[in-house]
This record gives sequence, C-alpha cells and structure tokens, in this order.
Amino acid sequence: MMMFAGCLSLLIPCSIGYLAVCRLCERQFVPGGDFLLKISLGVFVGFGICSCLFFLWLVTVGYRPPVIIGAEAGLCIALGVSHWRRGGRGRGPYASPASSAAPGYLRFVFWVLFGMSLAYFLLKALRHPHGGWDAWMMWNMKARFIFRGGKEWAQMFSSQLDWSHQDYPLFLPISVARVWMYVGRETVVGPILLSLLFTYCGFGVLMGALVKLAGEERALLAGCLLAGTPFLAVAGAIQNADVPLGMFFLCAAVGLLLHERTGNPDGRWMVLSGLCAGLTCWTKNEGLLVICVLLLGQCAIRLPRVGAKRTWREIVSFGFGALPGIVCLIILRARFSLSNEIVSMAELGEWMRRLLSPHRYVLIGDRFLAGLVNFGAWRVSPVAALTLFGLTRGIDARRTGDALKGLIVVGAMIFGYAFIFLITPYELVWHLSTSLDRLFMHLWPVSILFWINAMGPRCRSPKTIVASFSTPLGEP
Amino acid sequence: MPPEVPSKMSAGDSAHPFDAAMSFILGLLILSFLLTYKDYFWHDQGTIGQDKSSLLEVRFRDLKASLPPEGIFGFVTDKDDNQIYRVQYVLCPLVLVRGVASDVIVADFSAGERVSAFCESNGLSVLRDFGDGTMLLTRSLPLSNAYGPEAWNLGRGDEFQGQFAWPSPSPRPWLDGPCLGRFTSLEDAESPDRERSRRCEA
Repeated sequence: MMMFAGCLSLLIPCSIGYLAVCRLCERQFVPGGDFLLKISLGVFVGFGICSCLFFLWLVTVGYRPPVIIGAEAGLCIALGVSHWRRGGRGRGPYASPASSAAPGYLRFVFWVLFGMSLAYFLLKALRHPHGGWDAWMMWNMKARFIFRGGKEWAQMFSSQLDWSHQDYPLFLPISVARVWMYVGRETVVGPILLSLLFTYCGFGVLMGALVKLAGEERALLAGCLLAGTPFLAVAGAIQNADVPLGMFFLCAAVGLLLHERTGNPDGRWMVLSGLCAGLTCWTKNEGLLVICVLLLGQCAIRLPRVGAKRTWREIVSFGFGALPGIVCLIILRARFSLSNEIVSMAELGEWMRRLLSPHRYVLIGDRFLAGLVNFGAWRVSPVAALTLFGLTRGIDARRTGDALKGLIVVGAMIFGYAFIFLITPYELVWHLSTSLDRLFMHLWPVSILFWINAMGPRCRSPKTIVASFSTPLGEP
Repeated sequence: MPPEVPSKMSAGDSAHPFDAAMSFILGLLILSFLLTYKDYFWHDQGTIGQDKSSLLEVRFRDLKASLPPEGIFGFVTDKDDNQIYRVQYVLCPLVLVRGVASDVIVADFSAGERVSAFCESNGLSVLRDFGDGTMLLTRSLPLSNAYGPEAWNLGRGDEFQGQFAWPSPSPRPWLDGPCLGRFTSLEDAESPDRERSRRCEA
C-alpha cells in the first residue's frame, strides 16, 4: 500500500506535466513521437505545478492532505479527459526532426557513461540518505516542518531559525513533503527518488530537444558529456537544489530554441519556457537572474530579426508562463516578511566599498577561471579536449543566432554571479569556495545544449579550421 | 519568419567518418569516471547508514519521543558549532535555540562526565538522561527576575500531556503570573526526576 501511494505521488505530477506539455505545445510535436522530450519536460513541469498548487493550498486552507491530493487528482483527470477528447494528438504543422543517425559506438559509449553515472549516484545516495549539508539543513528540514508540523508548518519561519535561509523558495521542500504526505510517513527514499528523477530526466530534455534540433548524433554526444560529469551524479545524490535549478534552466532554454526553430506564431513554446524559468525562481533565488538573462538573450537576438512588436508579444507570452513561480515567490516573501539576506544585509556604502575594492575582482576572476577548468569533479579534465572539439567542428552557419543567444545567456549568468560575489556580505573566499562549483552546475546543461546545437555537423579538415579564423563567425 | 528546417546532410556526412576529437573526448570522459570510481572504492567508501544524520536520528529517537510535538527549547553541546543544525534537523518541528535561556534544554555531549561540571556552573540539573551524551536539562535555579516570561519562551507546549515528565505539578510554574521568581530550586517541586537531579548535582 505504501509503495502504491509512493508511486502515485510520483505518477500524478508526471502525468499532469506530460498532459500539460502536450496540451500546450501539441502542434509542435511529431504525432506519436518526441515522447522522450514530452515526458522529460513533463516531469519538471508537473512537479513545478504541483509544488505551486501545494503551496497555495498551504497558505490558504492550511495543511490538509485530502484536499491537496483531491485537487491534484482532479487536475490530472481534467487534463487527461481534455487530452483524450482531442484525440491525444497534435494538429500540425509539425517541426521536422533533423535527420542524422548516430554511429553505434557513440550509442554504446553513452549507455556506458549513463550507467556509470547512475550507479555512482546510487552509491553516493546510499551513503548520504539524508542528503548533503544543504539538503538536510534547508530543503529536507523545511520538508519536515511541513509534514511533521502540519497546521503549524509556518514554524519554519520562526525568528530563532534565521540561520536556515528562510527566504529560499520552497519547490524542493514541498516536493519532498508531498511524497511523504502521499506515503503517510517520512522516508529517505522519497527525496532520493525525487533527486534521481530531477537529475536523470534532464538527460531526456537535453537529448530529446537536440534530437529535434540537431539530430541523434549530437544528442548522444550531449548526453555523453552530461553523463560523463561525475559532479552531476554527486550533486544529485546529495540532493542539491542546484541540479533541479540547472534542469529547469535547461527546460527554459529548450523552449526558447524550439520557439525560434519551429517559428510558431502563437508563442506556446515561449509560455512553456516562461513556466520553466518561473519555476527556477521557485527552486532557488538564482532563478530571478535566470529569468533576466533569458529575456536579455531573447531580446538581443529576436529584436533585430523580427522587430519590436513580435518580440514584445514573445516576452508577454514568456512572462505569462513565468507567473506561477513568480507569484508563489512573491506570496512567500510577502506573507512571511522574508527578505533576501545578501540584499538586506547590504548598505549602499558597503556595496560601493566592495565594488571599488580591486582585490575582490582579482580574487573572483582567479577563482572563476580555476572553477571553469576544474568544474565537474573530473579526474582528467576534458576542458582542453572540448575546446579542441569546438575547433574541429566549428559553428554551423545557420545557427549563429542560437550560438550568440547561448553566449549571451551563459555569459550574462557568469557576470551576474560575479556581481553577487562582489557585493556579498559574507567572507569572499569562503563564499566562493562553498558555492562556485554549484553555480557552474546551473550553467553546465544549458552550455552543453547551446554549444552542441550550434556546432557544425561534421569534423572539419585542418585546412578548413585554419581558414575559418580568417572568416567572420558562422560563415562556412 | 519561416521555421528553420535542418538541412539534409550530404551523402559523405552520413557515413560518420571516425571523428578523432570526439573519440578522444569520449575516452577522457570514461577514463575520468573510472578514476572517480577508483577514488570512491579506495578512499571514500564509508558504510551505509553510518552518516552523521542517520546516527543522530538513532541517538535522539528516545529524546524526541519524550518531548512535546511543538515548542522552543534551549540547546547546549560541547561539539562543534554546527551540531545545533544537525540536531534541529532531527528534532524539527521543535525549535532549538543555542544557550540555556529556556526552561528545558536539549543537551548533546560527547562525554557524560562533562555534564556534571556544566550543570553546576550553569545552575542546571539533568531532567532525563537518554544515554550516549543526549539528555534533557532543566534549571535548578530560575533565571533572574529581570527576564520576563518571554525569556522563558517554551512555545506551544502547554497542552501537551504525553510522556514528558515536567519537574513540578504545574507544567510551567514560573510562568504562572505572580509566582515568577517564587520557584527557587527543583527541591521545591515533587519530581520523578528528583533523584536523578540530585545525582547530577552530587
């Protein structure tokens, strides 16, 4: 019975998400196809929607499991009936999938790396069933306050617990408490399973999108890069919120790329992209920066191409999608009078003193460069090899827009993080050493997406590589 | 703008010529992961269920069962400063406050011998010892009258009628309005833990 309830707690959000994605972007999918992309996106969207709903119930009617479960089941049934009445299929026009079959050895290597990553995740998760420091001190502790506290769940915002980062959003604590609520008791299996889902469904989003955008070969290559990153498995196993944040960011970026590629005029991919971007805000505070840089990237590329009017329409669609996550965050902050610790602890004079301190720039630059090379917990860092790889493939001339968008988005995120470190009230070396790896984790899946998507389809000869340096970006 | 449809690859491309750079990267990724496994099995293995949180869950199980479901308690330890976070995780939704400015204090000591000295110097006595350095302490002497009832904040534990044995017939005699300060020691109260308190003081 407990196992059935546990399965139900995962199946309901997955179904809600899958049906919502199908309903939202039905014209953009190949009939009967794109299942990997739809179901993977659906996992993130579904858990995001359920988390927002759960929170709204908590602040309005309080912690009442039958009401919450009933609402979720009702939503799932309503979406299912709507999907069934529409015949469960899209109405076209469909985006043509890229045709590029992958070589067998690449497929084999992907499964080897994926298996190694999964096994490493499980080994680590069994050793740390309560998660790492961040997981138990913030996310799982808040989940316990919700589940154990019942109607007194808001005790987690008690002034005596001001060390527990009370301003952090509640996506993860609520997702964990949801599973316990269905099961009826606390179990460490719940958060581990959630973390497993959030970590490995990201593969489905990345590879499913790249199959659509660039073909199977590059999708598998992207999968190999992600699976071959030991830090991803470690961060997932210790239940860091940075993994779901990075994956929501990835989903949002996928929405932007597919919007541009499919050229859909009604902006449904933009709504989906906005929804995922909004959910990054509901996962961690860094999500606010994610929304800003995605909008910046979109405007910078689309404005010269399609004009102000259409770009504005796209931004409105994006903003509409982002509403659930942002509204939940605003309610949380307003209801419990929470303010961000970095902002609230700062004074203008202090900010200026820090901004004018040259050694902070040097230290941050130094740590960022070291972090870029050492990130990923690779014993043999493939960064040099990846650069070589980029040189041999070059940029696809038809995808310079995507490449530029990726550059703007990832670059702006790095600058945003560097700015936060500049003004941080915490001791700088400590703050950098405890968070930089995790921040790069946010960017890694998105960087792979943009980079592999923009890359040329085949290995170039040395002569072509040399010649490419004398031609502008993107020209063949 | 019309949708960009990825162009068909030419006949030469579909043959997938051996990509040396890609193979090199894939080789590095596998090698890197193998070395990570090597590190794990040689240095980082550990034992399942022996992580700090799991061990604390076991150590504090009885203590947690004897406390009311909600409330604010003091916390003292001779371990590192982060111990309060770990114990808070185990005991939530109870709220722990560092220090002895509460009428009931959760203690987590690495050695039981240290407790006597600590109790003596802070005017505390052991309410119940759960073994392995975990215990509940209470005040032998009340805090100064300069502290208002807020300083004794025990949260919402008033209605609790569970296993917790309070040191006097009244759950919180020092909060009963005019009697604040009247209660001078545990000797004044008929407590099932009186003998234990005496042992501690001895």
